[in-house]
Order: sequence, then structure tokens, then C-alpha cells
Amino acid sequence: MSAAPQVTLESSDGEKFKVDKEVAERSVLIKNMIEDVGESDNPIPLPNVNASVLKKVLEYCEHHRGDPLPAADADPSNDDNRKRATEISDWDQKFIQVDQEMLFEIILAANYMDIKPLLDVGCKTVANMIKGKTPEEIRKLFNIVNDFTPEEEAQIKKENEWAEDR
Amino acid sequence: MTSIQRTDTARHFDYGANTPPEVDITPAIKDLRCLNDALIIHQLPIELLLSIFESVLQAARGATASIYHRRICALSGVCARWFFIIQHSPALWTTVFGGLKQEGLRKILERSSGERIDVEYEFQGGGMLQDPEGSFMESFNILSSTTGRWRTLIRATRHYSGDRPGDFLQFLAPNLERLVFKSNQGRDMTDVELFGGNCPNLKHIPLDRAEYRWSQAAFKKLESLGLSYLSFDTVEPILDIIRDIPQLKRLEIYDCHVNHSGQAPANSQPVSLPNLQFLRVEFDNDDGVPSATEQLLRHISAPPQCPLYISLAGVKEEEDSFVATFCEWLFGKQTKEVLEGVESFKLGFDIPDPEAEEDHSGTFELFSGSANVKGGIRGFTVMDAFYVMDHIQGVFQRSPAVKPFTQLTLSKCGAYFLNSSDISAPFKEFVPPVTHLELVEPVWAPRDPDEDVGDVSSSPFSTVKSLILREVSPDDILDIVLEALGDPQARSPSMAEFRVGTLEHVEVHVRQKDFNKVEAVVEVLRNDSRIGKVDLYVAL
Repeated sequence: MSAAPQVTLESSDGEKFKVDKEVAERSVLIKNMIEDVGESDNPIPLPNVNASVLKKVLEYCEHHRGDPLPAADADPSNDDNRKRATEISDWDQKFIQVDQEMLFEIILAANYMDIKPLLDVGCKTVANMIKGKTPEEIRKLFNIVNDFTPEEEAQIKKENEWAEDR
Repeated sequence: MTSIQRTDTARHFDYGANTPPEVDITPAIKDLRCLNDALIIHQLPIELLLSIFESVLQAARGATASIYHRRICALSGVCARWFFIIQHSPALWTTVFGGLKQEGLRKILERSSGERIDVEYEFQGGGMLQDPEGSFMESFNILSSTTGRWRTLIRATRHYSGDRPGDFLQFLAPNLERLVFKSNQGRDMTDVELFGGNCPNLKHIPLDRAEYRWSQAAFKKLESLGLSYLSFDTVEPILDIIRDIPQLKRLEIYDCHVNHSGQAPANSQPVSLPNLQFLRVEFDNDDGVPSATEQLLRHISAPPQCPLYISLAGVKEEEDSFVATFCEWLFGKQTKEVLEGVESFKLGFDIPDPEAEEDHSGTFELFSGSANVKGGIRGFTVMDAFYVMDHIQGVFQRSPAVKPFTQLTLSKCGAYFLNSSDISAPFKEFVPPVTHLELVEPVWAPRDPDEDVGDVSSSPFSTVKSLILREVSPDDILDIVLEALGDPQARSPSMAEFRVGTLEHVEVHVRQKDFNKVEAVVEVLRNDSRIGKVDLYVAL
């Protein structure tokens, strides 16, 4: 039996990763690049992703290598589609339980490499971290400092007032 | 919720371009913004940040205006970048609540820019509302200038003097796709012609307690129709409504009353609904439910695979023909053939006080579903449920099923239900056996440890091989599984009626916030040699 075709990916810091083509093609960006330039021994450069993040992203792609790819025209009202979109396995949950820096790096890499399911999981995880928190709690969570001018503070206060029910 | 789309836009955000010239940005504030700009969360492209905000706000859609906008305010109050992005993102301002203060209402409409909007017009308060300040009408006037942008109109307002709900419907709303009028308390709006008879894009309309003048031309694209709390002389007006909507996909009729339920319609021509994908028929008549339902079903022609959900209210045991009619209409088959195709059976009970001595009244819902058979029956007492189960058993006993019945879903059932031989007895006789048991939102409390412990062979669930737990408290997961296994370590090892034979598969579905707590429990289950595979799923 012949070995599965492989491709080499090169991270922004020059590290090379040899992976099965099937795994790399979980990334639509890479899939399109391979289609455009044809198969080659030259490494595919990923200048926006460093080695530690790329390693993590490839771990995700490896785990999901056999999964059906999300259809571009999937009907979100379909029960099965919705279920797939809102539930993840415990492996995915553990995968995404990383420090904040890595979580955002993964989101940025998934966006750049066009790996939609990973982008979904990452963004929804951040949304869950935010839900139910006050502005102060959100700032503390992400180390954001209050950078409003006094005028903006006044405007926010005013918006809080008119946003109430009559 | 739509899933997040990849974006190619720049991450850079230009505060200067978004800051009014009169706002003085001091060097100190500039320094703070530079600090924030260095954070990785500020590196997210604007579209991704907006998708995250959308996810945060999604859960608050359908809540009150104050809850929804409090969430927007919480997000905008974090930092200047978020504030500016939110203010200048029309997509976040498309949910418009009519009950907001007028200044807020104007601001939201302005910020939604040219986007299509979902208008929810709801006034709080009980009893007969007065409108001394004319705020209802003022809000209405503000909203009425935007009807061209309405995508959804939801109106749920209690009576107040001077209210004319028909005023909402007099405009042209060319982009309206969904219209929901709630709590109309029997108002007659037959003098109202919906949107001048011209709402070419209307797809969904549930009519609750309100009758309108129907203009078939207005509903050319209608895909979903709901009729509730309406009264009809016969089923004929209902058939007239749907006669010219062949593209209808979903029809729900519930809590409607038919005065002469057995009277056949004058026009005996069946209504053809070739695209129907869902049909629910539940009349509230105390004594003639089958006849009204049967009359309607006899005059509708739909695809054979269309699921049908009906009510059992008022059906008496001798009326077996009713269930037979249900099967024949639905699938063009006999009851036996239908039941042979059943792969799953969902029985949901909502019993608020399981210790109460009176009859366990409460809605139950019975669903069956497979690739070939989809349908359901709703009833109101446990006796109704037993009636259906008896019927199913009888059919299976007369003719061995080709396809095994596999899944039983029990919603909101507690230990009381599962351990009561009186209640669970009918399950023991099921042919073929239940192999998958799904517990949704189970109410689990420790039972008396001195109760007798029964043996597995007497349990109605002894044939279960797969246990599925949803919406279960993390503290109860281990206990439920141990009780199912008859483990003496269980909190209440006396659940004689709730015993499985071998557990080949356990599936646990939890929320993300509970993951860490549940993960440890699942690890214990995975190390238990009595259990085969254990899967854990996390809802985002």
C-alpha cells in the first residue's frame, strides 16, 4: 500500500511540519494553495502562524481528519446541522482549554487558514467567557484598561439610562 | 445562530476617524489606548469581534428590551474600541424593542442604518393599561416610519384604552417575513386587511387569538402558518385559508375550537399541500376532537413522509379507529406497518409535584421518529400515555416487529417515576425491547436507602444498552449511572425498577460551564469496567 501523500508547512518562525495532505487540507487556504500551484516538494509558507500555534492547529486537523467538511450552503435550520454547530466533543473542549493568549492565537490562525469549525469553537468559547459579565469583569478577564474619555463615560451612562424599559 | 465567517479585513481600528472632534483625547487616554492595542484580543479583526458579540447577544434575543440592551451596554462599556465598533455596527442594532424609551428607540433605529429590522413591540404591565402620556402611540409613530425595513414584527401588548392593534397592519411592509401577533384576547380584526393585502415576502405567520381578513394574494410565499385560540364553525374555513398556499411547509393548529366538529366541509375537494413538512393538529373540543381532526385530515393531501402531531385529549379507549386514522392518513399504511417502522419513542412528562396523590396530570408528548416514520401524539394524563402504549404493545404482540423499537426518551422524570412499578409497568411489556434510554432534565433526589432492592430481571429497562443524559445536574450524573447499574455505592441503591443489564454506551451532554466538573465524573465512568464507551458532548 502506498503511503498517504504529504505536504510540508512552514511556520512564520521557520519551523517545518510534514503532515498528510488530507490533514493539511482541513485548511481551505492550504487546500486552495495546493490546487492552485499543484503538488510540490516546496514547503507551503504560513507567515501569519508561528510554530507553537501551527502545531496546535495541526493537532486539531489531525483529530478531525475524517470529519465531513462543512458545506458552504449548509442549512442552519436543519436540526442536525444546528446540533453539530452547537455541540462539541470533550476532546474539542479540552483542546480549546488553553491560556488566553493561545486561544486568541488559535482563533487568528483558524481565520487566516480558513478552518471554519475551529474558528467557530474558538469564537463561541470567547463569547461564553464574556456572557453574564459586567464591563469591569470583562476588562479584568482580558486585562483591558478603561480608556474612555470623560465625555465617552457620560455618553455610556446616558445610553445605560435610555436602554431601560419604560 | 449563523456560524462565524472567515474574514480578511484589517485588524487596525482608527479611533481618530470615529471620535467626534469635540472629544478631547488627552495624552493619558492615548497611552491607555496604546496599552489596549497591544492586547491580543484587540488584534481580532472587527468582523470576528462582531461575531463574538453576536453570540453573546444571541441568548438575549427574545428577552425583554432591558436585558438585551443591558448586554449591549455591558459590551460597549468595556473600552473605547468596543464602544466605537458596537456603535458603528448596524447589524447589532437590528433588534428593536417598541417598549424602549423614545430616545433609545430613535437611537437604535438610527444605528441600525439601512439594515432590515426585527421589531418587538411589547408593553409590560398587568390588567388594563392606560397610556396617559401617549407613549404607546408615540413609539408607534416612530416605528411606523420604518415599515419598509421590517423583517419581523412581534406584537405582544396587553389591552390599554385606545389601542388599535390593526394600526400596525395598515402599512406596506414589503420586506416583512415574519408576523407574530400575541395575546389578542379574541379581538376581531376581520376589518383589517394585512398590509393592504401586499406583503409579498411574508413567510411565517402564527395567528394567536386574532382573526384577520385573508387576502390570498398577500401570502404567495407563506411557508409557515400557525392558528391558535381561534374558533371556527366547521373545519371548512381552515381549509379555505390553506387552499391557495401550496408551498406551505409547516402548519400548526392548536387550542382552536370547532363548533360543529363532525360536519363535513361543503367543498369536498382535498387541499393539496405537496410541500408540507410538518403538521400539528390539536383542537380543544372536549368531546369531538377525533371528528374535527379526522375531518381536517381527510381533506388535506400531503406527502406520505410528512410528520403529523395530534392530540389525544378526549379520546376514549374504544376509539381505536382514531389512532388507525392517524396512521392511515399520515403514512398511507396500517397502524401495524407504521409501528414496525418506529425506531424511537419519546415520552415527555411534565409533572410538577410527583408526590401529589391525585392523578399525575400534566402534558405528555409521545414522539416517534425514524427515516421512514415521523409523528407524535400529545395527551394530558398518564392514562392517555398508557392508552397509547397499550395500543402499541397490542400491535407488536400480534405481529413481531421487523425493525426493533430502540429508543425511549423520558423528560423531566424523576427517580419517583422511574422507580414506581405502577408507572413503569407498561414499559416492561414493550415488544421489542428498549435499547436506548434518554433522560432529559431528570429530577434526581436520594431515595430511602431502606427500600427493597430488586433484581435486574424485573426492571423494565433491563434491555437498555445505551444511556443518554441531557440537561442533567453534574452532581447527579454519577449517581444516575451507578443506580442504573445497581451499584451499592449509589446514593440511593434502591432503584429496583431502574436497572439496566449491561451498559455498552453512556452519552452525557452538558453546558460548557459545567465541563470541568463533569469531566472528572466522566473519567470515573470511563474507568468503570462495567461500562463500554462513554462520550461527553459540550454545548457551546
